[in-house]
Amino acid sequence: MKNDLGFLCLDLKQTVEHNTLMSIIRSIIDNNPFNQVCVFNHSSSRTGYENVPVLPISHCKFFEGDLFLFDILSLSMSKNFPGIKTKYLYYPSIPWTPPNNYYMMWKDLLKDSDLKIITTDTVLQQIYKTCWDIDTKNIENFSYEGITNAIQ
Amino acid sequence: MIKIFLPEINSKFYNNIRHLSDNLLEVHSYAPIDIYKIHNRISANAYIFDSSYVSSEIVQFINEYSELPTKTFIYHRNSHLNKDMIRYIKKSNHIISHNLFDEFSKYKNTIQLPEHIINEKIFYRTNFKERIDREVYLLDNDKEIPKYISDRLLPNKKDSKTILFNNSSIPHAQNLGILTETDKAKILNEYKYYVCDEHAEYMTEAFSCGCVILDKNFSEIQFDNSDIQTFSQFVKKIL
Repeated sequence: MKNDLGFLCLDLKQTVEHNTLMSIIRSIIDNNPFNQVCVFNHSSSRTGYENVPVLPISHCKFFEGDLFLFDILSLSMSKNFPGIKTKYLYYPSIPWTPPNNYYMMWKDLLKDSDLKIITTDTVLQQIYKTCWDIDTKNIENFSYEGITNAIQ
Repeated sequence: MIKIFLPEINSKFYNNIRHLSDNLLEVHSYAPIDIYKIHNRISANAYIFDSSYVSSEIVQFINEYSELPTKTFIYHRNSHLNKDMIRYIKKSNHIISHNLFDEFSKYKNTIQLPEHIINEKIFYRTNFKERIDREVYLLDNDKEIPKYISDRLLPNKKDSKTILFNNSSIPHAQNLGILTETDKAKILNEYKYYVCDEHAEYMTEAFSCGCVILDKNFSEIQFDNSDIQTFSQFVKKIL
């Protein structure tokens, strides 16, 4: 891993998905001891954090490295964060659906040279390519291997 | 200074007139409710109403004020042509699209909206370099995606190159969203092909922005640019 890595996860919950996410982040930390890896978050209802550093979202603005995102709110929030080198958006769907689909807003968000989109199937990959001329990475399972392959 | 009142409606005609505001022309756009109140506030020289919304108050207003120096117009969009209105509201001028005009040309108070009309301040060519190899289709007047377009979209066509714009009531992955007139000019400068809809509404604009124009069979149309009029010429003429 070249750069430090932050995960912007606005709302951490005690769900299966977030348990998997935390264990993946733990594995990334274990396998990259010379990099800083942490989670930025706004609210949390978790009881345990698997020894993953969790920082308030305000710290994200001053983070230097790559940022992993899971929703459009985080993407728009982090648009002008100065220290972010590459943003990875894991989005298993398409965000520009009606009624809130103002083309220029989506173009501004998605056609960003620092943004890499990670999709979950080849159909989505094709839609992104057709609609926005964006090459996306595809990971079928949200796993340690999938994430590390996507961010390399 | 000439003042024009327009209803707040999202259609090509109104959107383009709205962009004509300059030192000599002031365009005011409101919902056409309490028209007397609006008249007291702005006292416009010309009022353009939409045939889809002509209330009894507006009819009364037209009867009272449709004499010089105030002029009133009713614009009939293709989808909202009202024949009775043209017959019975005689004090107002009626603006009708070129394709429907022949039927009503016998009435003195009708004005034909030219076939090729463009706002030259917005739609002009800015991109002379390489364009993105996609077909643009504007869904402005559609209630659903036309068959000849849906055949070329995912999942019906795997290597689809068609993208859709400007209708938030038609959900499709390739419908990329709402555009303003200036956004449309950017789009028509960015992409290579423009596919005509039923009324070929933005064909003139696509030609001016340098797009290749395709018909319903996706074959290229040679556009005749000899009779292009501008919205500013049209507005000056009718005022």
